[in-house]
Amino acid sequence: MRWVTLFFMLLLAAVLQSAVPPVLVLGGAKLPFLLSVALYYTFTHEMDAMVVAIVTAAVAQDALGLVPMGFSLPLFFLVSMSFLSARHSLQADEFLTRMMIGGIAGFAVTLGLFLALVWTGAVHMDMGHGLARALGTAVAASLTTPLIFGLAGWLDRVAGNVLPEQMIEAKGRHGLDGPVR
Amino acid sequence: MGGVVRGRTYLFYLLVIAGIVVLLNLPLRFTQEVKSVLSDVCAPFETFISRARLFIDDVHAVTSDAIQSGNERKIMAEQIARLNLELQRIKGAEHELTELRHQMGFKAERPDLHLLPCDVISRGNTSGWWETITLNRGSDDGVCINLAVVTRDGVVGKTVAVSRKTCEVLLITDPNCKVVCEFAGPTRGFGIVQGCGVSSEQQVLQMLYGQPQGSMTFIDRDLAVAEGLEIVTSEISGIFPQGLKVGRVVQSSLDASKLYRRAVIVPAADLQNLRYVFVVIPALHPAGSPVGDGSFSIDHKAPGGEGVEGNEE
Repeated sequence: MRWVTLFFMLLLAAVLQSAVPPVLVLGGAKLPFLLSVALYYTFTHEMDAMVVAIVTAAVAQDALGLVPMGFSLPLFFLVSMSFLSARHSLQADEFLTRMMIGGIAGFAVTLGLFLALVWTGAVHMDMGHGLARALGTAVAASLTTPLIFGLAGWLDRVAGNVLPEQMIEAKGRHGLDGPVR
Repeated sequence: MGGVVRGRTYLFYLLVIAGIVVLLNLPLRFTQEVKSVLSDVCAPFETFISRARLFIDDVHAVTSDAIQSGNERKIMAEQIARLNLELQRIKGAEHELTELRHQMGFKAERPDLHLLPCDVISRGNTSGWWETITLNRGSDDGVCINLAVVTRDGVVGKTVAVSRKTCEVLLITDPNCKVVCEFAGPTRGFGIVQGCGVSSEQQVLQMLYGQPQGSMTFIDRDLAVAEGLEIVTSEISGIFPQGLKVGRVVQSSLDASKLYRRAVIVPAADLQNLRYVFVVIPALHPAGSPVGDGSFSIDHKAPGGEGVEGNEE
């Protein structure tokens, strides 16, 4: 059931991210549901599910848009690995922590993507607007991340997967070899 | 002892029969008097009973009315809500019908074009870095990259990515979309229309005109470009058929080099509220693939690559 939940969440996130129009007041940022799903699996599941979630989310983000394939994956990985190394010191079951995690990840991924796209000449945008977009995505991600954490956690509980709180706790203690279900 | 009791019983019956006979034979006047007295004695009680019954009847009527009217009100409220929903649905359908009629009129106006009607299913794709829309038609319907996308009001953009069931359209307000255009009417002059992207100037103009802007560059510097001048696609535009409305000029000035004139334009099509668009499908050659693979071929590098319309660069 864990894989069913994972792919359901990825599908839902991809559809939502694609369907919800850019938010003009956030500098035209899209709501980064896929990034939030990748973050959820980084914090709550063991290595195999985490890797699948990150790769699929990043590939889906590129595939469903005009971003050249493979641009998002290193950024998703970089952000996820950074959080993975600091997961034991983060209380990822706290709402505000989830907001903070989403905000930082959204900012980092968008800024990285902006630099990559400008560097390859794919977009024409000045640094100020790129930063504004990154900040806008940070705000958007700080909203979507607690939402995805809540929804995916609920789905995991309903589906009979491990309780996210227990997983976070155990993963914090045991590292990547946390509780396997 | 038993004989005494039986004798009293007989006496009782006898008295009763005698009383009945007496009453039946009382004089009329006396009986009327008795009735009158009894009526007067009972009247207050009867009145009380009658009023009480009326009161109960009134209370019953009021409560039943209240319950009934409450039920009626509830039913009416439900009916009103249902009718409101129906009205909204009809209004939506009417609006949709009007828009579809408006758009389908374009097919009659331009019988020379093979127009494929499409629904806009999303905007901005998953990344949001480009001004794009996604349509519900793809390669299964004959759509390929670098086809013009238009509405009756004007040019929308061109297809830049195609899957079997969907296609991605780069809007003319995106800086990566370049179209060779000319001025309609007596003012002859060419230029390249390009989206402004996100800039402070665009944001100000967007607030003023309510939608994103584009710019027309490389206009002859001596040309008198008046505000409101209409811009249409040129015959030398490779992708877009000639004479399609693109937008109108809102202001013009010399560019930084002072060699050319540059005009800020407002797109003719309402790009913020697109629901239905047409993809201009080229005629098929006998082999079945779109004609003009040469004329439509572009240097399609990255989405933002230069030379979006190869033959006009």
